Amino acid sequence: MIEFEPKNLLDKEFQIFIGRIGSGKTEISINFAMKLKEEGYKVVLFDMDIVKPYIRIRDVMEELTKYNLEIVSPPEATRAIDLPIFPKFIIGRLMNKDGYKILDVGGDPYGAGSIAQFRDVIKEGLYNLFFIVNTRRPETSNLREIIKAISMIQDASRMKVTHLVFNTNLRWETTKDIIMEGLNVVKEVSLETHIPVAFGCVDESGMGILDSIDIPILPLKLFINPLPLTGIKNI
Amino acid sequence: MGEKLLMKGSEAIAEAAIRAGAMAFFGYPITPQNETPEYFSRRMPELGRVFLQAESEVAAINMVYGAACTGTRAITTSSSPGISLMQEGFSYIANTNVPCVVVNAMRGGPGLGDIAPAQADYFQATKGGGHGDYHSIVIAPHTVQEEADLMFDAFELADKYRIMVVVLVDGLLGQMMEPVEFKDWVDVKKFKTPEWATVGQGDRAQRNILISFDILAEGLEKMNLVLQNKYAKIRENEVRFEEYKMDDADYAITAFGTVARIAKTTIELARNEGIKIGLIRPITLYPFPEKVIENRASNVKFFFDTEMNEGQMLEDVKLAVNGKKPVYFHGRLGGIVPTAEEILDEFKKHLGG
Repeated sequence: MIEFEPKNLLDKEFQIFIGRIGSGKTEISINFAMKLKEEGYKVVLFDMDIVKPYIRIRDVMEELTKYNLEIVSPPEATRAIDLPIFPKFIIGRLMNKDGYKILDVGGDPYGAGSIAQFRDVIKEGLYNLFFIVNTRRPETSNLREIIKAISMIQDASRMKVTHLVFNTNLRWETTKDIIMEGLNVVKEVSLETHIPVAFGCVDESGMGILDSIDIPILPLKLFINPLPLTGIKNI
Repeated sequence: MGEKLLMKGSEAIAEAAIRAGAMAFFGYPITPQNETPEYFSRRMPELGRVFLQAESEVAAINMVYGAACTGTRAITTSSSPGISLMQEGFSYIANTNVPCVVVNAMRGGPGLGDIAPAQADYFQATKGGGHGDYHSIVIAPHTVQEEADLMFDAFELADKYRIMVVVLVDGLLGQMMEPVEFKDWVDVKKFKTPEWATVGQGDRAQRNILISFDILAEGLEKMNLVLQNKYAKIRENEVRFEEYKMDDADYAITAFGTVARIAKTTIELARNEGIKIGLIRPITLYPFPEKVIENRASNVKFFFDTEMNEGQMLEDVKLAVNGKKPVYFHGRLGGIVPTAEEILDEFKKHLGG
């Protein structure tokens, strides 16, 4: 297995994660930020998800404070009300040149469209825009669907996807076959669109299934796992 | 069965309803279940079926009522405040004896409340909610797979009894993502228009009339008795529950939906400490699985009911236990989800007492 090395991506001050809902943006943003921090870089993690009602960075803040991550998130008071509010002083925080800014953006064109307003700050050439793909999610299961999703999200965000991130999984039911089948689809997308695959992700507890994979891997420590299953059998 | 997908509960509900033959969706957006109507809005037109965003929940449920009167499989989905707005429609649907499916992804209340998950609409769902003596069948899944499976059953039960079926979940069961595999598509071409449907007189000697009232008390009592007979049959035949580790249990937890899955973890924690707890999980909240609870009352030392409300199913558990054993309770309010450890701590307070 090749371990993911962020070095080549660090000529850009913004590292932005987008994708369809449920593709894994939040977990991957958190882990990407932690990886950079571990390697000694200054990072600021932005919770820009104004789409999901829960299961966001701001819902796992307590856990994340243990890692000393600097997080910019919407006001605490908006956590459980239905208001799409960005963090305070967001423009200033985005313009601050000190450190890498990692953005967890809301899913689908709705979520991605909300960052188009910052395109005067997040200018072309200053960002990496990672499109995350889980081929076991509805509407990103094949070449045609993924290309359509990329195009819709690019149009909404008015930004260009620079990299693909491979995140095919079925949670605890992920197998080597599922990973390899998904990777083939994502490589096909990369060939067709000329967008490189930056890295792949896997739950750190399931590393064994990746022995023969040929893309760099970022092992994920999972933070957002509401109500893990105990002894659940299908009814 | 097809390929396994990773889906949010709110998406799985929509996909399963579509495969189960939902021909018409009417609804109005509300958090935390907007992924469900959004999913319908993409898929229904692809299949030549109806998706309509109504101007309000009141309009949506009356559109469901109208579609249901034509024997069409119709569905609406909403969350607590939206479901409150629909209650008048529910009551009319009940006395008209037409089938439909309603999904309530409950959130914190009362009033506008918040968008966090809750279970405080148990009374509303199981005891009527709207006016008059009526019930709906209420089903409470606790995994994404079960949400998908039970949507098929919801439509079958609705048609079988000409009744509204409520699928009662909460925001968390809608937002969580799990692997899911769907049952085979129901062949909607094989659907026959029911005899009673108001779709024009056709070859019938008399036109069909569906009505929710009788202006004479004697007539209205007869209509009510039709309903009550139906509910008796449902109570007799449609009770569903899961017993989890009850065989050797000294204590029984009762819980449904999200809290039932947390309770399963509580039970593991307790068993590691040598405390033998089991779980009785009602899958149908109406009809309520009172017999299994009554029977287990002779095996266990006490019952411990836990819910994300102030003790609503607790009343049905107490009725079923009927004083044979103590029934204790722990609940969280306003959208707070209890942890497995918290439930165990609360449970332990009653040991050796």
